[in-house]
Amino acid sequence: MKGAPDISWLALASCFLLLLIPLAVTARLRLGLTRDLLVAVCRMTLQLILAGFYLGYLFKWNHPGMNLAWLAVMLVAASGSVLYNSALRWRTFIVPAFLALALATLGIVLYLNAFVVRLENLFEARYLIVLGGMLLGNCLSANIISASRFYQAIDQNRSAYESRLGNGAPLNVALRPYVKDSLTAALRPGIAAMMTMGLVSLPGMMTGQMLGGSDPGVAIKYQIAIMIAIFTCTTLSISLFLLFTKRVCFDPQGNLRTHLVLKPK
Amino acid sequence: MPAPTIQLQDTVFGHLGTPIVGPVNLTISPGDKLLLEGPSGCGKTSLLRGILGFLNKLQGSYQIDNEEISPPAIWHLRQQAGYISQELQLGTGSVRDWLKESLPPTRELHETELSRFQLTKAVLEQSLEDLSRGERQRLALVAMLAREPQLYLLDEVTSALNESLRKLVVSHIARTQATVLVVSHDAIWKECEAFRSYPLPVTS
Repeated sequence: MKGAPDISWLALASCFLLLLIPLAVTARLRLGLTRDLLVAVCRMTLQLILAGFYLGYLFKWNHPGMNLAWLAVMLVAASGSVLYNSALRWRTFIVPAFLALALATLGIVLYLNAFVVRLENLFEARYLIVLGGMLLGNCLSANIISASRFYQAIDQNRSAYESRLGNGAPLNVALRPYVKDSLTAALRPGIAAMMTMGLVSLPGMMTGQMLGGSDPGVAIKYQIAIMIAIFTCTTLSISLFLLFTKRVCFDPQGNLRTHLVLKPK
Repeated sequence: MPAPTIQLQDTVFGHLGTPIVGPVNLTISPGDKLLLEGPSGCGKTSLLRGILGFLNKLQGSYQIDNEEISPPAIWHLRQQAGYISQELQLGTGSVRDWLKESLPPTRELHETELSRFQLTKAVLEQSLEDLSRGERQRLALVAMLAREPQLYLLDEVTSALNESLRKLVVSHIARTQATVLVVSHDAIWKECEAFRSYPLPVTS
């Protein structure tokens, strides 16, 4: 199998010329994005060069412990940074977010490695880190969005929630409409993406594989597997996240501990 | 299962250590009908929320059937309670689905229960958002009564009803065996002989 031809650093530099177009548009229309755009492009470039560097080493060493440790680092960085930008309190949610994502991602990746790709070494860097990172990237924001939505909805509709409790509903029954709403909101984009897959968009993983020299027939099989894995991972991690946070976020009488859950407005 | 006896002695309810209502001294025996009175902001609604465990007891004693309050006791009390809040947020979706969630399994509303407060079966086909405030108040009352709770906690439940409906609601509730706690600015409750007034102390 022939991989994609290497791009020389000079040739890659010529790609940056394309940026003149968005830069011209942002400057002309005074969008105020020029600075952010330049910083973002620099960060993206540096971060990817670094990623290429460490992925090279990880693939070379291919030590199961090291691979798992790297997945853990990705999990912490990802959950931390997204929580930081959400309405949820970092301190309350970081551990449950990490655990829910770790269990779901690891479970699904190991399943893929064992039963779909059928690897001898389930912890092989090329699959564990790449597939894990992909699942993580795809279900992380859905997780935080649904959790924020869940807790904010209860906070904003406190009277409706208290009415359900005050008329004898057990905690799980009183929470049901909010669970339903937040899960629906989180899962709908995934369903929409599957609806149009291959028609409107050619997904990144598939195009990447084909550029890398894979047969389209092989690439689509991986794409089908990853789409199902992403959707399952999202559902599983959100359910676990809500389950893990429920104990901390509600007092024994079922009241939302707003001060622990939401950042002060 | 008889209605519980509720005893409040120098009870202060609040949130995160901040007192919101009290100190309250009040004994509510089974079958009592009580109208909580006091100026706006004195904590009438908060007292109902405190009794239902939505606020924490900060001081004094709060006993149900001679036992100091605990989370299991609160959950048990809520099972016996029917609560209609002032905001009257019933949520969204169809009335039929809301009733299914609000009533015990297999319990359906009969035509007579609806017509008692001048509602018809047509209301079941509507969505909650399309109901007027008055219709929602009556629907909430009908659903609450169908659950047959022993303790009613009613917060401004007649505010959007016309006079004949208000009379209908008050006289129906006055006749029940249940314990009733009412918060209302509507004089019609005060005029009803079944109710005794409890003026809430004004906290500084």
